[in-house]
Amino acid sequence: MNKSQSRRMWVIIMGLLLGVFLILLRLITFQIVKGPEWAARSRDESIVIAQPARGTIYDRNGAMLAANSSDYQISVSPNMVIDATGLSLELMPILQKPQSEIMAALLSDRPHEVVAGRVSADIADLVRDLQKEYSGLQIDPLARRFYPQRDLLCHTLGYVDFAGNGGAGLEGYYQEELAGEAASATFFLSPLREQPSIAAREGDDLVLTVDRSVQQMVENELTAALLEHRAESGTIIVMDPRTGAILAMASAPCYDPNEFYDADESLLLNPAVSSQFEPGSVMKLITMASALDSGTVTPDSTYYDAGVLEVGGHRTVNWDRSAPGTTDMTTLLARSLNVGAATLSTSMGAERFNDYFRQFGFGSPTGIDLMSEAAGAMPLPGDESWTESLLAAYSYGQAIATTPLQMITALSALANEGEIMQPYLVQEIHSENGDFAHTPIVMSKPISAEAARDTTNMAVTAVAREVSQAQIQGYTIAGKTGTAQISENGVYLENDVIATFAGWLPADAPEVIIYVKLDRPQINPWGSLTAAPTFAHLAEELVVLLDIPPDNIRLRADILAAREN
Amino acid sequence: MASVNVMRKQNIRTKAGTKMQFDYWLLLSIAALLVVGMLAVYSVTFDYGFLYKNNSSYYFQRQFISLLLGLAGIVVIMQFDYHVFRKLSVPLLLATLAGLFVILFFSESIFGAKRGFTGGSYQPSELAKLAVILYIAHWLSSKGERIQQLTYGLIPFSVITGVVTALIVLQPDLSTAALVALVSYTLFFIAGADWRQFAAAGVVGGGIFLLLITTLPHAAARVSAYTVALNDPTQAGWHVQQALIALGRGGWSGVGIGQSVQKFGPLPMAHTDGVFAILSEEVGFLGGMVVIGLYGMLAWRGIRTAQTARDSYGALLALGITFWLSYQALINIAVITALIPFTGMPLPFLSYGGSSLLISLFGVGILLNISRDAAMNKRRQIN
Repeated sequence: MNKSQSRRMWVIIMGLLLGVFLILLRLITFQIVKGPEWAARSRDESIVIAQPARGTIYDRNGAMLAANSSDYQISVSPNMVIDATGLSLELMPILQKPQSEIMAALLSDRPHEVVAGRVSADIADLVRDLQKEYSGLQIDPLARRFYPQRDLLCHTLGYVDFAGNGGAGLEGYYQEELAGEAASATFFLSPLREQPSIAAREGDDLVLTVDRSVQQMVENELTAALLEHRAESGTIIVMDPRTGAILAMASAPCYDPNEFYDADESLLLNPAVSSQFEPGSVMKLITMASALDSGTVTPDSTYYDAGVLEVGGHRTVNWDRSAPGTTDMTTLLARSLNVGAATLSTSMGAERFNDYFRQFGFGSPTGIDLMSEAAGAMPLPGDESWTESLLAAYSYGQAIATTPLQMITALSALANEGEIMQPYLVQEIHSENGDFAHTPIVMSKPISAEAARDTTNMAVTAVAREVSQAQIQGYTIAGKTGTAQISENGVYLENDVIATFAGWLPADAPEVIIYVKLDRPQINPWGSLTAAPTFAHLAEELVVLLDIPPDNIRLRADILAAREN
Repeated sequence: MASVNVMRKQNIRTKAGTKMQFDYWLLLSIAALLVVGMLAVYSVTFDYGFLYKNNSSYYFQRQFISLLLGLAGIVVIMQFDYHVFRKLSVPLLLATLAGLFVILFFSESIFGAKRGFTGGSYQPSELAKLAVILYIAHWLSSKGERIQQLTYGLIPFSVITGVVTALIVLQPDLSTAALVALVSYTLFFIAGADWRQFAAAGVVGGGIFLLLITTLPHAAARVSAYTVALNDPTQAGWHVQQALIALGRGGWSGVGIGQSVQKFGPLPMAHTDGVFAILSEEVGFLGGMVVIGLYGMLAWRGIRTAQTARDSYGALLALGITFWLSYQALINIAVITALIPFTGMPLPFLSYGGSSLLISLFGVGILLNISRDAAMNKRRQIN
């Protein structure tokens, strides 16, 4: 090297020494002077959360009704992103977001930015393809509730929001059991230290009393009935009166719980347990049963029907304004005479009559395992809204608010020797800590077995005489129609009614009780012409699905069995 | 260096008895850095290796293989007179250019950049550093004082440097391109470039660099993050903050070898670009000083070698290799200490990475070769 080159070399060396000097200053600053300050910012721990899987819901035969699937969260680590512009241009059409918004996330200062909070698996797949070309992309699964049967049993199942909380129905009622319990623990970053162990409590699985085939059939019939009678909405409940097990619970219109966020908010409530209405004439069965049980009348009693009865200043008249004169109890039910029902309740007196109604469960929730059950309303003496005339109105199902479930539950006493079983939907719970099986619970026994049988027999005759539309071949049906007026703000509407039919079979040894409610049928208002034929269709299919033999075969088998003994 | 260098027509194989007369201080500093480097690589990667490869020494083994290959390379290089590289420099440069081309057009990109063959484990841009130094040293020394003329100096020089750096910029790997350009300019300057030409080249090169960092989106973002961080490091990006936390945790004497916490997640790429931060956390300021001292010793012995080199080719080659390694170490540590914007630049001999270690060792081999040649030459003159 010559002198000039040597000089030039020293210029470079001086530059290097300057660099070393600056580095030394920085090291002294960060390691010594401000060292403790920076060291204090270090985190040698991280919190790890173990998320449990939500429990599965099965029908009584093990068909899956609610399970889990995944959505995906798309996020980026901005410090790992190299080609932000290119990546944002690729993401823009996939995520349907403005490029500026994506760029802001890609150029953020934070170590982690969420670009899309929740996208479907299809979109996540497209993003996954981009991962081969671009750095810094992250795709994380998010739990999503999946209902493989779509809107089947929708109101009853309910839905699960994106935070993992059940929003209605079983999902809401069994939130704690289904959700399980997340566990979290503080882990050391260093793998050299002893780490805690964590295990989440997994969600419990539910097995329902509902049969998927029965439910599907019921929903089909309900939809058909709404179309046929041009009704606005409707509810059908099918229950086993011997246990309180709900075999089907359907309301229409429905929604798809997979897409609960698109559903109209009014659809999210379950009308079977949350809607309250005046049940109308079906209530006469309860009035009759109470009168028989209390000894006020016998099945052979008669009363004089003058076509009008004034109670507490309110005049009760028959629906057809008739005045049939001396009338027996069966005819009272068959012709659905309001004056007759009011005669029974007034004969019993308010205290005794109301006691019976309370025993039947009116005015309090049934306690079924569903979220948002309504209690109904039944003002009693002493309450502010109580007037003497309610005694008459209650007897034929007016001025009292009930839910469809309350109605079928009360009626189940007539089909189950006077005992009301608490209605329930979950037959079994399978949890990590063992299994639970539901044992039927007697809620109350408002009437004797004899009174129940007598009322049932009268209801059989009444159906046979007046409601042939509810009859099916080979089976004895006990039941009652109802054509309830709808009151809005205390005024009964002229043209809108709720048509109902409640019935149970076989009448001598009931295995199933069905409640049909159609709201505002436009073609024909009468329960006997709308709800009753729907009941008959249901009954015809149910005896097959539930394997209920026709009366004559069953009775012959009973006789044969008795002989062999 | 008044005369043009011409390779001597002598046997380029060295005689057996004179093989071992290279610079032992140089060798010592390299050996020490390699030991520290292997320890550091194992310390930082045993967790990664266990997690992702189910073998806690996976990365250490790979690095060790590169080390052995590098050492073998040194042994091979020591069999020859380094002037053999004058002949090899052109084919080597062409091979590098071919590699860069192929990579640009035919390879899969990793993390948005195309930098290597076979899944990124072989990177031609590392080879480019050494190939460019070999060629520039050869070219400058063969031109002598004619490099002060525009047509012999600046223009061809700019073309050579420009093509190589452009190919690396396109990968895109701006920091490696900048390093290659920086080393080339350094050699051009020392070799005796005309001041005005050099200044002009500096302005143009600097202008291009500024243009690139303002147009390349990731680079611009890093620079703007940097200006914020320089004033208030607590506002710096995640990388920088975690590196500074590692330094702070280290304090005077460190938390102990293997005891770093920052390597288990908080500091990204702790085993490559961030290794000095982890080293400083584990062995503290004093340990960091030892490492910087070892680099200083390497640089000093490299410069000594250049000063005693037989001819200007040897001198320029020795300086090129020395400054290349020094710049790279300086830039890496400057990033860790938030002096310059964040950029991916491996720390020679310490960072995990096969290509980088291998090429660095080849460079060191040439440096040792020059030192031996100088010693032999000196003895010959004394005799």
